[in-house]
Amino acid sequence: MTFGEFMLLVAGIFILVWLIFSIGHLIELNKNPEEFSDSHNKRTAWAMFIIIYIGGMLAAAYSVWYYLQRKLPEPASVQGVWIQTINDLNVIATGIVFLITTTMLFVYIVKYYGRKDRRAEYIPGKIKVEMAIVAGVAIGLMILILPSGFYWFKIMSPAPKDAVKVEVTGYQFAWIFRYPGPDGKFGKRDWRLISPDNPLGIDPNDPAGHDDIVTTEFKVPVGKPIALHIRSRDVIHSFFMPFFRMKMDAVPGVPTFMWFTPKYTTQQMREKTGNENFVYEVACAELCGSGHSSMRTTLDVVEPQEFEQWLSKQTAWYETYNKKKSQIASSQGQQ
Amino acid sequence: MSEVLKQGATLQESHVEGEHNGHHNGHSFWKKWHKAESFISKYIFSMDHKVIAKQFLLTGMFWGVVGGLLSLIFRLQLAFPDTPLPFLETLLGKWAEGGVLDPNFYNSLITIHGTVLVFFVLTGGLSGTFANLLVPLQVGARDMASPFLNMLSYWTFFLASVVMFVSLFLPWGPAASGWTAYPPLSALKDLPNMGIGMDLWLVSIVLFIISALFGGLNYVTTILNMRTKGMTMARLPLPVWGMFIASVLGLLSFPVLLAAGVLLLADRHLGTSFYLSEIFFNGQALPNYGGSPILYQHLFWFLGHPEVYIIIIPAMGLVSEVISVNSRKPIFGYTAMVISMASIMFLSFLVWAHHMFVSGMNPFLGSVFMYMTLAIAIPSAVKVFNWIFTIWKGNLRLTPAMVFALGFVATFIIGGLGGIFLGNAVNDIHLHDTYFVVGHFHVVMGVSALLAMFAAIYHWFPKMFGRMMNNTLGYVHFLFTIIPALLVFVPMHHMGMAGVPRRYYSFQSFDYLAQWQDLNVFITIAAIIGFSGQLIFFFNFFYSIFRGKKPVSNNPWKATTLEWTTEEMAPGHGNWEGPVPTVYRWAYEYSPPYLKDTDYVPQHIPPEEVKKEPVKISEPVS
Repeated sequence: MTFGEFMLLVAGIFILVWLIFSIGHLIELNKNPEEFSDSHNKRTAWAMFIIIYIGGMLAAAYSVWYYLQRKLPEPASVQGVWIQTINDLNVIATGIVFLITTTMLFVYIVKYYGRKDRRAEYIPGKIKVEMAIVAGVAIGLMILILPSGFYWFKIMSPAPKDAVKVEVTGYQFAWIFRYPGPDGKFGKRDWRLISPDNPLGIDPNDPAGHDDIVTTEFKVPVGKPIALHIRSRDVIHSFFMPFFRMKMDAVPGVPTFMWFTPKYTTQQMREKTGNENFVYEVACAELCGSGHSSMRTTLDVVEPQEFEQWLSKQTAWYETYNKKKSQIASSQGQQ
Repeated sequence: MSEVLKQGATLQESHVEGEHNGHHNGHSFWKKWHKAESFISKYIFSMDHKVIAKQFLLTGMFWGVVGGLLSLIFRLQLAFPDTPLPFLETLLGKWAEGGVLDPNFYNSLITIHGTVLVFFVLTGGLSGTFANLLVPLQVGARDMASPFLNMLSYWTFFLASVVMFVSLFLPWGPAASGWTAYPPLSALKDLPNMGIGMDLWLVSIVLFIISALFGGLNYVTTILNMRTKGMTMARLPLPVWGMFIASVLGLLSFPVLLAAGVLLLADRHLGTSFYLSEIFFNGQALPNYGGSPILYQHLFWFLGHPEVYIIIIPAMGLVSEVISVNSRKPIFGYTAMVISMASIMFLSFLVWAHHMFVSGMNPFLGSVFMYMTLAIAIPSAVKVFNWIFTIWKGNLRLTPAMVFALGFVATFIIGGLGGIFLGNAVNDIHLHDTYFVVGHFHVVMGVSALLAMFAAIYHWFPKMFGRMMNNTLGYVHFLFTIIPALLVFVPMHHMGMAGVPRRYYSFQSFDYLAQWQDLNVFITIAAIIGFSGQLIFFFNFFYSIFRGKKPVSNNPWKATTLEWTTEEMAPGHGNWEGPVPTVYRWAYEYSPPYLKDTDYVPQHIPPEEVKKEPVKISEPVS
């Protein structure tokens, strides 16, 4: 729809409201606003039932159908499958409760609309009913809570020892990644050492950092646990991997952690979704300023051999850093 | 408690004995002030709780329009990210050069929209209005415990409004940190739109908190001490219980946000490091070390979560009253209603960190907060079922107020069930900060609370202005509120499940978001229709103040509570011209089996005057 058509539609609806309002106003002119006749109550009750209940249910069904065309593909990580399971469990449980309570509400509206020839029943409450509600909801919640607690601790547990370590650093408005290199250890960092040549502020005097690889590319092997060490340089960001159903905030001064096990390579996911250009997109999920909505990066999940090859081709951060330092030193010496 | 009750009763008796403005005895200055009754003392610096209620309502309505318009601007941006809209430049000047909205200003729009809707409309406008209007009238008092503090509460709120409003027109832009104002984003004053706009935002919030504390102290004191003879706590109408519980909640949690705001101001201007550590910003390393942004989140949500209950508990009380009156049936489970409101209040102090499941918090804490959060489903479910069982076997008089109240129950069910998803820590890993959150809180504390507020306005409008609102317009307004609201916010739940992050200026940078563009256009259309629908309400409201029909009786809804016993429909200062009525029973004596001619017994009718005749009810239609 173009913008012009859209504005026309809005104007049309507006005029319609105006008409309804004027007609209704004329009809009600001579009525006593405190009187609500039987037929009035009946009409209102059925209008609510049809417009809000039936219409609402149809619209909700359409919304669900629309969503199912566009939903994310199946979770690409083991942890994501657990999260999706809890989500589906919630959909079923709340769906049942929603249907029951909403149906009760609207059926009672059309069943008990006001009539002059009948009276309401005097029922101030029943303690047994209240206890039944409490017990019923408590039991329902237990069914949700038990698997949730179980999975929560599994997802939030410390990463396995053999996990591939990657450090993620967010800044306005991009992400930088660091791999620990052959020694498996990250060099120390200090935010006061950050410079254009040293975007993470790695301590050049810490030998553990000399083989660290600093890159804007994010590649991990499939089937292995990946341990993310998440940090931020300026404001709070959030490392959100929707296709893996995972998310963790990046907080300046407070390192955070998350680990996950990718199930499918990017290539496998392309075949699954039938989309040749599919990539695992990573978004920022915490408002971080004007570039928040374009703070995008991608994750490439590859076979382990391919990952090792790629990693071995990367140059260590310290080499480039040192080269530049010595170039600067020599150019200064020449002067 | 019984001591307090006795004291309250004696106080009230002295009121009854005293002159018209009994509560001003001993305050000769204010007595004189009132005798003068100039325009200013009657309508502007008024100490009459009913006038203050109207002031809160009008200010709330003003902010409702401002907040709504701001949302339409950013909805237009989301629907038409590519199309320059030249009228935006006319409207916003340099914030929309060439008709393209500035991303920083987009963030300002969502920030101010959230802040004013949560604080100014749904806290000030909702409980400020109806606590002021109903607490003295329903407990049988001539005014609040301290009318002066009450006046001060409104004018502090007004000042907060002015400060916020001024910040909208600053050349440096209004605050753009989101309504949660998380540091370091809100603490770095060199960021665009984070300069003096952010300072004014903080000052406005501090002023608002002071106003809320003045108000809350007054409501609690009035409810505990100023109840009329016979009005025990167990006989209080549910709106009063709602206001009481929400006020206690506010008194205990608002000061924490005040502290958070003051510390944030210190971080911004005094060089402290409460929330700042290891930040490299603007090409240089900041000296701050050792603070934690997470500390702010704890302080913020210690109010921020109770805040949603400060909004919704009074709404629940108001809706309970409207549903019971118009079902001609006692509220189902009065005690259970009070206990569930009280337990929601208690639990709401123990759930704040469910907003922080993915902030790197200790997972053990996360699990505790998950259990506590899901536990709130129990009292909430009790309330929902009690409303449903109240209309069960009732005789529903479907007034506009009743229709809005039933709409509240329907949307509260949707919103409450959405909360089960987000309260679940596992599910929240995916859903946190997505559109699911936006859809959820808009349905549960935006739409529900607004529907409750409208129900209360339609129901108590004659008490405020002595005239009735037009019913037909009321129904049309209802349809043009609830339908667009659901069309806007229910699909957002689905967007969230599909991983669409919130607070995005546009969806164009991501491949997986592009497919939601059509829905964005649809939501924007629905939002514009919903906003336009409110014009019907505004017309009805202002037209009815001056031209509405006069009610035939002083108790148009045939309600039992004391506010309908005043001699005048819209009473003057002091409420009752004669003595304050005495209360003999609870507030929900509707359709008791011993009545023949009428179907309700007001609270102030002595038992000996009630004609008790066993009646045969014609067979209920089923």
